[in-house]
Amino acid sequence: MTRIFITLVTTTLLALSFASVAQDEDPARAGTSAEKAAAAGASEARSREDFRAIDQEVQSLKKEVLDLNRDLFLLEEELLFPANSQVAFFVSLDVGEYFNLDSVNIKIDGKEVANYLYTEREADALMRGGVHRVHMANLKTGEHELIAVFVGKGPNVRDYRRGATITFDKGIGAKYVELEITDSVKKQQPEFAIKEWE
Amino acid sequence: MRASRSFILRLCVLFLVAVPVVQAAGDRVEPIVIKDLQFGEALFHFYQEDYVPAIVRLLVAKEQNRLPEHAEEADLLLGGMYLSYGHHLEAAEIFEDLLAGNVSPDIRDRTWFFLAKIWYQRGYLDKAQDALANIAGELPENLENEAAMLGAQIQIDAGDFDRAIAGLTNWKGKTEWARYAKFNTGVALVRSGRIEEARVLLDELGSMAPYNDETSALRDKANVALGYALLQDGQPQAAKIPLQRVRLEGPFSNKALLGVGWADAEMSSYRRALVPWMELRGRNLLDSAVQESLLAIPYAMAKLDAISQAADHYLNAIEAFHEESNRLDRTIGFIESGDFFDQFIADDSFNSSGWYWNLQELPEGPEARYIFHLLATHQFQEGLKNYRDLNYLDRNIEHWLQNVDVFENMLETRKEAYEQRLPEVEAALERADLDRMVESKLSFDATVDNIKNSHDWLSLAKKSEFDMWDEVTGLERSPAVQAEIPEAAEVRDKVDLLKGVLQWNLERDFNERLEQIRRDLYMSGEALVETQRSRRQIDEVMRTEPLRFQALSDRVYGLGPRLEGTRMQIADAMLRQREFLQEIAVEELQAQKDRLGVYSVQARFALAAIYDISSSSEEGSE
Amino acid sequence: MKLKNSLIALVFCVFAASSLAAGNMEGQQAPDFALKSSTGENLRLSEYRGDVVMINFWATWCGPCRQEMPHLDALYSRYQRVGFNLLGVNIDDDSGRAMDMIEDLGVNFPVLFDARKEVSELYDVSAMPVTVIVDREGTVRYVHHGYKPGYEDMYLDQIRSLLRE
Repeated sequence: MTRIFITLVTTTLLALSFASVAQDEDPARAGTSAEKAAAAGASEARSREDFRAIDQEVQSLKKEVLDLNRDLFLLEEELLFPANSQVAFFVSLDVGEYFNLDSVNIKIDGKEVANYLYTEREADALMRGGVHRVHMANLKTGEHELIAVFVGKGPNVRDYRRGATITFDKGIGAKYVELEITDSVKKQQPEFAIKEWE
Repeated sequence: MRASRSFILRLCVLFLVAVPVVQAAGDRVEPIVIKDLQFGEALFHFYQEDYVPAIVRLLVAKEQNRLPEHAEEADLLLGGMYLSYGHHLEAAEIFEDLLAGNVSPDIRDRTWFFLAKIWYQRGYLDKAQDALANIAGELPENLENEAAMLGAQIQIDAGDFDRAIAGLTNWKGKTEWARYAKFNTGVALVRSGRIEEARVLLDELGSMAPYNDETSALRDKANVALGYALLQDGQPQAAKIPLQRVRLEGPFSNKALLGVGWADAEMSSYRRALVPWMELRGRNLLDSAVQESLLAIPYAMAKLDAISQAADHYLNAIEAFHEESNRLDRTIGFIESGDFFDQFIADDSFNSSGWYWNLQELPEGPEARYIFHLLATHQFQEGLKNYRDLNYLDRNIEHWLQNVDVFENMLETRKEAYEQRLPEVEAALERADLDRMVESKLSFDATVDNIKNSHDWLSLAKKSEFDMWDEVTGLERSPAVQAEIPEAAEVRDKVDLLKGVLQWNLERDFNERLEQIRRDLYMSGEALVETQRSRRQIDEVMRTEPLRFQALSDRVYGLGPRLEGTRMQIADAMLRQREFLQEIAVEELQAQKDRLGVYSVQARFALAAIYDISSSSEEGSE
Repeated sequence: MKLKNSLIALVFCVFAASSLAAGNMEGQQAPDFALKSSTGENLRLSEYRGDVVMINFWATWCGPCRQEMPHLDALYSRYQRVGFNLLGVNIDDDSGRAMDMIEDLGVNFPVLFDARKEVSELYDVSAMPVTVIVDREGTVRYVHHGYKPGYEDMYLDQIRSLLRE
């Protein structure tokens, strides 16, 4: 009798312990190996099916919402900035030495349109190659003047300020202006390199 | 602020393969030369872990065809993000498309890797294995490790232990990863009865010198697994060795204590067995090992003939199990009421990314500890993640719903502005009467050509010159001048002279004037052309703008219902997901209750046996 | 998201629905902004999503603001570790004076400088102090105008309830 008792206990324990041993006590996700390890009864199979059905639905909902977001984004852009007058301004970084970008200021035709303060997180994203859309404008066709100034801190932790002025021509169709802060021209001296894209 | 993805969690998650793709993708994108602005924009969000904006940006860019340089990488990034978003289907589609096209070998390898992961997660082991085999070159280090783990895991799942073991000796990646693979292989070997082979692996793991929390945990785990395997195999003496290597305080200490006790019990050293069991008894009753100790102790005592003590302990055990069972009942009730999961959602700190998310801290309250084990199951975690994601989606839609009014306003304003300006434009066009102007210009052109061809220098005369010419020719024709008298002859001479001079001047100036006129004509011609072009543009706008309004209007006004519809679906899905989670949770708790039930029965049974013994020994006195 | 938020804010202004008057802000998304802080770094509101955030608009020439500050500091010290953040927004033209004052008062929470008054306009701040409490998801839940002794108890309750959510 007691012999059975032990084996009963041990096997239960063993079954349990292997399941949990493969799973880990930490609230981590166990893999399908754990799933198989657990007693694969009928309820297990049913719940897996139920789960899959719901999971599919959730996945398709996610897709739909993402698509909606995309459409809404486009719609909003079109409403606010119709293609024939749209000009988008971007900020990007291409520096070899460490450079902490603090802010970028943009004036178009003498009027200040953007004064963006960059947090550490954002500056970091820029350093890694991210590009920031800093301003969108509706401009008439023809020439416009752009004055851009950036402020940052170089490796010597000194405040560093640089500006650039260009006149650009707005034709028919959307225009992109990239304000690239780069030290490729003069080493250790970041400057603006302004590029235009149609 | 944000759920930190600690190293511990990452390693723990290594038993399977879902190491964050996000991390992997992020590592790979070290300095990239960005040529497509919109790809760069997506990266800007991605690096800040704002994954929805990143994905949306990429989708928008693809829609607008603005990714000439980075099309493949954008797809890869998108696919990777979808994958960690739990969007296997979409991710698989993207990756399969990528492979169908002409891609660089580097991208091709990474794509095969991600596909292997997806197929493994969906249970298609052979496809996953094939995909892995298709990786030709070297992956970036992080992915390489993961690939090796995945390969090992597939082999284990497929029961191909020999290959798994062989793979361990040829392990290409970091050794830490290899250890986990070794553990999994060892456990799998045990389960298929190959104890001695398992022993080699697990023993090695169990004797390694730990240098941090993770390795300590792994070491303990390996020892417990080995110990129990040996116990089951009937080798209690051998089992004690690994079990005693387990730390006294740790996630596996309870099982180790229990196991050591049983090892001694197997060898009939009941007194010795009591030592670890008594230690266990004082620990948290939620642990099944502790629960079992409540039975094991009286069992040993009975063996040692301490019958009345054994009886006491059995009674205590029965009572403790009963109380615990009640507590479970209450928890089940709480869960079934739905409040529990809402708390899960609320407690969690939200970040807009939130896709690579694992519950790291349990919510407050006594109920949560019961679900502890559940958290380790794939389905529960995924289900919870879905629930949470749905909540986020809901808020996202709500957000946009608030903006639909704004869009409608914007549209109306633009329409009004256009309709206001239209009559002005039309009136201006009317006044201009371009057609007439074009006609006059054309006829003027013809006239000038005639003048040139006929060398009609008189037609270019100024008014004063023309008047003079008129006067002179008039004079010429007058009878007085034409008279045959000497005075008239003198006047005739003068007139001739004048005429000559005039003509000479006019002829001399003819070319210059002709040129001037032609130039003027040319410029006005240009201006006309320009005006015509504007006119055509305006015509075009007048034609297309209403169409565009219509199209935009359809989109904008269609938004409301579409958003509402999606929102209802989300609410529906959330309800079902929550019910599903509740079901699983309750099932788990029920299982725990059942186990307690089994123990209780055993306790009662043993207790009855004891009473039988004692009553039969009293029989004599009855 | 940030661009969108500022665009939407702009549009609201254009349509002069005036529903963005500080009083009726409750229930709306808190307009995002970034300002330079007293420590020199730029801080952005949306990066605090996930925490409960209290935004306190103040100026050196505002008496009740001075009174209020030590209480705010106490709240900050107490709850910062459990997901609460306080952002002080100072609108003095001369940030030097503000710096002096916070040093005098020994304030620990971050103070941002809005000398150009852009953010205070965004939040339609006229009289001071104005205290805005934003929940973890970025929605404005409570707006308080002015300060009277005892207000800090109200803040305490509101913050606690939002933390519990």
